[in-house]
Amino acid sequence: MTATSRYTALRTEVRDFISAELDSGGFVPMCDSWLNGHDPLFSRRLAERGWLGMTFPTKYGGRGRTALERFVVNEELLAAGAPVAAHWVADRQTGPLLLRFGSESQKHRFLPGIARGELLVAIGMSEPDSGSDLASLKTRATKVAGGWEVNGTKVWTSHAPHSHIVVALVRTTPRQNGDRHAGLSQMIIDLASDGVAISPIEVMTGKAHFAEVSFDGVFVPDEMLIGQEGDGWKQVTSELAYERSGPERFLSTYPLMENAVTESGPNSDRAIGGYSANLWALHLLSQGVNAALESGSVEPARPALVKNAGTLLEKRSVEIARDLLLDAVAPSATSQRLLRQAQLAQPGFTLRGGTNEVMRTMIARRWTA
Amino acid sequence: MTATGTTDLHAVVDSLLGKGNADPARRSGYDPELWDQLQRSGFDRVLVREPGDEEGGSFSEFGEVLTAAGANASPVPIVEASLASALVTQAGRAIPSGLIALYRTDDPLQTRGAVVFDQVPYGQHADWLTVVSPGPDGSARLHQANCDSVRVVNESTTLASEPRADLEVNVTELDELGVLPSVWQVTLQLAAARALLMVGALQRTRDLAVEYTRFREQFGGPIIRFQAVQNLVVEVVTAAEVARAMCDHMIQCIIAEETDTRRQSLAVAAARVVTGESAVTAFRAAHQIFGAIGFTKEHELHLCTTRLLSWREDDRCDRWWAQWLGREVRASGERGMWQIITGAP
Repeated sequence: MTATSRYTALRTEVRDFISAELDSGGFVPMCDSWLNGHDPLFSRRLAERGWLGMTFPTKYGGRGRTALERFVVNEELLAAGAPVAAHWVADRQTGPLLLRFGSESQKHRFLPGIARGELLVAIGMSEPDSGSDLASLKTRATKVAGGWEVNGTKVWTSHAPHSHIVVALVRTTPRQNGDRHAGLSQMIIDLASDGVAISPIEVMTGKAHFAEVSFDGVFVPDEMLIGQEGDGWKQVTSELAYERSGPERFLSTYPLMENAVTESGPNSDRAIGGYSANLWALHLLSQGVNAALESGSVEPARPALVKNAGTLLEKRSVEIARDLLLDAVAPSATSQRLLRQAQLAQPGFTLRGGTNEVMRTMIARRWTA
Repeated sequence: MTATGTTDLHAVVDSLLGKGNADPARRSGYDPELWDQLQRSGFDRVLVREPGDEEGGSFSEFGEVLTAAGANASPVPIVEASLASALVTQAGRAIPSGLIALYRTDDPLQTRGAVVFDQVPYGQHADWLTVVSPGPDGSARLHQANCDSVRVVNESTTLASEPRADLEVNVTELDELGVLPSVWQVTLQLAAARALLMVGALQRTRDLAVEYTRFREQFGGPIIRFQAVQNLVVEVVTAAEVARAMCDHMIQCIIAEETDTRRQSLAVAAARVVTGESAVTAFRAAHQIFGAIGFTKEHELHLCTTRLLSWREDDRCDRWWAQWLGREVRASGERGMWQIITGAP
């Protein structure tokens, strides 16, 4: 049995759930569903089936399942264009972050809510002046009695208006000469706190998943610091491996592709075969990274390679879909809608999760060090 | 399972094949001494499964030999001769000594007169010619002739300067060795083997390119300092990695799904598509990295890069496999592509 066929039963379970959801109008398939499909009720229905917090230990409300099982479930959901955005970052990286670096109290306080799809989390990393150069961030956490006072602004904070907490990367020690990654920490900030202001940012697709979150004298209690003060960069690096290696890096346009293939004309075989083979290879590469993450750590250049190659395939797929639909006998309104969505969304494919330019620098460095 | 090209077997074969590499001039045409060494070491027999031998005939081991041969651009028909030995054994016959050429056709053999087999790899150097052709009821027939009875009517070379020959033989000289399950099985094995040769060549191309960027200095330092060059390195690295991942899975499917020809066929098709695309990407990026020196005959780069372009044409070209795969995807219904990729119908 190949590594792939081992999970057939699990895939069938998820597919049956998706069929039932589609039949009952539970969701409408979309591209980029992990970013644009924000549906907290759907997230809770997934949680009821045990598909959120899958890899968390059961004592924290999880199911104690493997990273590969989680990968399989999420692949199926993304291939179906299911609305998983509400819980996506919490499940993907906040949970593993707390499991690895959080205190017992934090684990008991936050993990069960994530596993139930009730606690919605935003990631506070990028700032207006700190995108690719994240370490240059300026949001400052100053020590006060019982905690920290946070001042600064985060941007591109997906779904902050609908989230309960933000995991923010902040500077806790002023920057000294030498290590620019030192002095950073991560904190869990309650978005209902005094001093927090959130404004949605609309993007050219017409969606507004982005937001700006400003902190004006926001008090964060001591117990909301994650791990050790100053370990922020180390924590973020480990999170990024998860962020970069998942199925969202090659399946964002799959709902469009599936429709395009179904409606394609007779001369499309070569193009379909070409795309299918490349998608298969990216699925295998991504699965391989997730399998390695299961046993511990992974060289950062590996997820970077998957992210770079996968998102470039996503971009190519938009034009392939367009060609298929141009030759289609009767392209549907659904396909046209998905194609328009994908065309407008495509700049994001290679920007989010670390721009491809940064990914390529990492890959080149690893191979030529 | 371990990634292709990382085992001890690979290292041993790589070392053996690497010994002849010092003089690039020796690497054109056919190297009978190298072939002799390979045979004496048994590396042409890794696909052979003797009757009753559960352990023999590992496609995974064959893959290790092939990636080493591809990386070293070895001027020997490792694919054809290894497969011929395995097929002869499968038909219950003894493997003849010397170099065996293999020809596969989808047309049934004529029953009398002379026939010409075109573009037989290393045909002009072979001692034996083995032919796979359709038999009754979807099976395949295996025939063999001693090359004393074979006439070389034309010689040519591939894009990578590998030898090909048109061979004429009277069908009465072709001994029927036996029956095989299907011609398609042989088509798959040839195509899969070609993909694995390409993985080796991709890895070698990548290693050469990476090393060059570290040590070639221009403008006061190694050229890897420039992002434009880093981008080229990423292209070669990615091309090799994507091909390797697909071919690793292809080997798994071949080994695990011995009775599921469709699953094997899909994986082989995808592997041929991916290696074909990787071939062009790596070819262009590596030559760009090496500049003019890499464009010379004297430099070793072209030995691998021309083989990448040439091998994607063999045993059904990569575009044929793309079309085949696309047809299968469309015929598999609405969720066909995803079902194929996940192996879950």
